[in-house]
Amino acid sequence: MQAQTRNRQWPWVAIGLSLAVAFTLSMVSPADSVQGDLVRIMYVHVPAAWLAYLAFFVTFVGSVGYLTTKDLRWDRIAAASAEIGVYFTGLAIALGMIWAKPTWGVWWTWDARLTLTAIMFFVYLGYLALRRTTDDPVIRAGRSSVLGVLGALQIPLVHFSVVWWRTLHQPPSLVRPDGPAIQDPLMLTALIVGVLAFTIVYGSLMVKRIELIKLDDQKAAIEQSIERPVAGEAVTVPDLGASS
Amino acid sequence: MKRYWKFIIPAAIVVIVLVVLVFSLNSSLVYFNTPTELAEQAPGDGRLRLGGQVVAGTVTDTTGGVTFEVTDGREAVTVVHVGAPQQLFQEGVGVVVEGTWDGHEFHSDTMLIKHDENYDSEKYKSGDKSYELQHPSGDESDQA
Amino acid sequence: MSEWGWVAFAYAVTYGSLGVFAGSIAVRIRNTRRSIGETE
Repeated sequence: MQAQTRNRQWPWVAIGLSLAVAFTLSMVSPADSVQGDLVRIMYVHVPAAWLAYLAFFVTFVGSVGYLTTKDLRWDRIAAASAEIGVYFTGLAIALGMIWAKPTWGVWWTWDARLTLTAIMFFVYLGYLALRRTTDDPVIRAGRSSVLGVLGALQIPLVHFSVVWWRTLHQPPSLVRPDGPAIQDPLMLTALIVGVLAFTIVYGSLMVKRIELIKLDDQKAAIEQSIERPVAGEAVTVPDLGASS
Repeated sequence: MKRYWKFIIPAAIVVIVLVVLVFSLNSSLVYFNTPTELAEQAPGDGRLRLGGQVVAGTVTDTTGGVTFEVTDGREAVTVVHVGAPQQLFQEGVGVVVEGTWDGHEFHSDTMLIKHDENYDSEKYKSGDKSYELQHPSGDESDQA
Repeated sequence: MSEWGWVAFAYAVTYGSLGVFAGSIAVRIRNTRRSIGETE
């Protein structure tokens, strides 16, 4: 039991270690020639946004998996990933605002990238709300996987909004046709390691979140099995009265 | 399978509406006008946004503001800005200003900085590429 | 606020929110395990 407990805790260790490495790199990397130290906000803002895409993409995969196999395990993956994705989207928006105020001069503006990101955030909040509209796991999985597939259409829309329309938000620096637009190798490393670290954080959170869903399912199953004998026991009520 | 149609049909309608909305709003999704587009526009009282690069050597401080030229590489428009310029405002930087166009000058009262996607350290830019000893250049091209 | 002030703000939001998010999952796992009578 002891060994099993320790095995279960590895995701927390993975989160701590990867964030420690990413944090160190983002602090020792040099300041930007235009933005100064403000560029360090990029090493958490960009990974948060990337993880939002990845998480919603996994929700898409889980939803397609459920619709084709009708296996509830796929639905668990979709649900866990959507919740973590909403968290990372919110984090990316918050960090974007903190970065925008000292650089652009405003906390928020309604350009295409920011507006579409906000819509994506609310659509996936809607996904989480939709999951609470029924207790039936099969109906819930059916409804939410449809939204999980449709919602994923927003991922390319949000990502390429900075290329398709003229926005205040700058286009991507890392993934672009002519290679990264970050010249200093230490700055580039800080960003790439940040993305990798956040990916490990995402994976670790997924493991724990799915563990929680399984436990909740077990708990619901136990509660249901307890309720049935209790209902049947009504027959024995006279017995109880006689004995007391 | 039948029950899914109850969700697929409304969902498909939502998607179609969104797609139509996005493409019909295409022009509103464009955040600012370029100097070239502005030069073709008739002057008016309507507020609009102008974006471009600050032309080097054109920045002059005025009482209560700053004037400068903004270019997209083809046309240049003079901007008369009222209010303090942003912290990162400097020659060569991207700006988006908000105000009115009198056919001649752009009168702005709101300035935003539009920074590009390029990042570099002062040290590396100045030609001191000593990091390359620690990070072989193969590292970099792998990421592309 | 200084440049480092903004950076500190951003990192406080990142690690603070992540701590709350991860912590809430950990607590819910522990509570659920207890309620179904499973030892940790």
